[in-house]
Amino acid sequence: MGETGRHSSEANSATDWSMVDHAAHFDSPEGREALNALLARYVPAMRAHLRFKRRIDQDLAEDLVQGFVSDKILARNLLAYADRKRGRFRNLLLTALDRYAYSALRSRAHKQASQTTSWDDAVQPASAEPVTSDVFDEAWALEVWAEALRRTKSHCAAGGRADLWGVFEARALRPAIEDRAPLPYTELVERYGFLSPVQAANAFNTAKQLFQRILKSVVAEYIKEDDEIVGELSDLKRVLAFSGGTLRTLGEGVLDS
Amino acid sequence: MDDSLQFDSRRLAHLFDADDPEAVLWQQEEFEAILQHQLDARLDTDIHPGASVTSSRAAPLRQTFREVLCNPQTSLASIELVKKFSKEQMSTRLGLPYDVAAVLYYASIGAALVHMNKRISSLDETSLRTGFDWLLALPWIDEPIRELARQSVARLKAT
Repeated sequence: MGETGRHSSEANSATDWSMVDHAAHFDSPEGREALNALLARYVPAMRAHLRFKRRIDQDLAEDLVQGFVSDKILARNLLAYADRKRGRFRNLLLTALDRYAYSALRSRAHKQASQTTSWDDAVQPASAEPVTSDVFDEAWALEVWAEALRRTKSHCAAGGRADLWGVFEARALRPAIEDRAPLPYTELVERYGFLSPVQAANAFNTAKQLFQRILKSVVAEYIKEDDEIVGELSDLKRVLAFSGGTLRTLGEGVLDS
Repeated sequence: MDDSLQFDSRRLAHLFDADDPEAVLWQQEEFEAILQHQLDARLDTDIHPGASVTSSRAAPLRQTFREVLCNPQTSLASIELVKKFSKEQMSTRLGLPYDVAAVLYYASIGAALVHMNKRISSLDETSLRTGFDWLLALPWIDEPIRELARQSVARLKAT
């Protein structure tokens, strides 16, 4: 997280390491479950790190992350050798990912001499540029946010409350994400048939509270302690607020085209 | 969907907070449409007898807000319901915009003055006059409400 969220993130690292310890024993059912949870948490952010920090195109980034998981985490059980004395797990993971990507791209370039894609062309070597977690944290915050939104949308649809999602999307999400004006009130009423402005406002409030509740449940899937959940929610908000405002979305599928 | 969306990240972050004062739902340009819609809504859309003042039991909730405020044949119970509802809305952030709720509030006081010759507010004359003047200065209220405010001012002067 950014500087403002550092304290809480350090606290969360204890949770990360506990998950890592379990995941390292992925030959057991419990270990496999922990590994799946760990990958679900970090793969999107690893992908984002390669795409946005290292400027590697989407398909190649996907291949590299899959290769890293397969070759390093599964085949060589990287997690069993991760040294918690060396700091936050996410930074160790990114350093290992960078080295893997550097090696993989260099090998690929040697095999295809005519191919222009290389680590040197696309990125700075890991040793020349210390891994920073800003992009990772931003991507992570967005991924958590997007997952909460996807679940909120599904929840509204399953409950036959398209109006809740609709007013939330039209008045809050699209203005924030697409920098467009909120759907005019009159169109909102025409689209969803609210009988009064109070009904419309109540629908928005209900949707927002639902989103907040679901967001908390998403965070609770990787952080168990209540006080740490509060800290993580605060960190997610700070990361989004200070992310600079320009990120490619990880929330595809949330908004209809 | 475009893969390169621009995030207004601060606005996005507001969605995390239940009580974020910056998370304003309605914009001022929409107040006219919102007021019109509220005036045309029936009382029972937003007011439920169990949660209202005692006199609400006798109030005809099927009337619209406009009928209650602008019809000389309205009932005091209905006017009091609108006053209580609008006062509640003025104190809640997620509901009617404050200004729209305040219009309904002063209009209800004015309706009681004009149609019933009753004072249903403990506000003193100066405060009421200030409220009606504020209401009359709003560009987005319609003529019946404006006329009600004018008559309310005249009634205050006469007392």
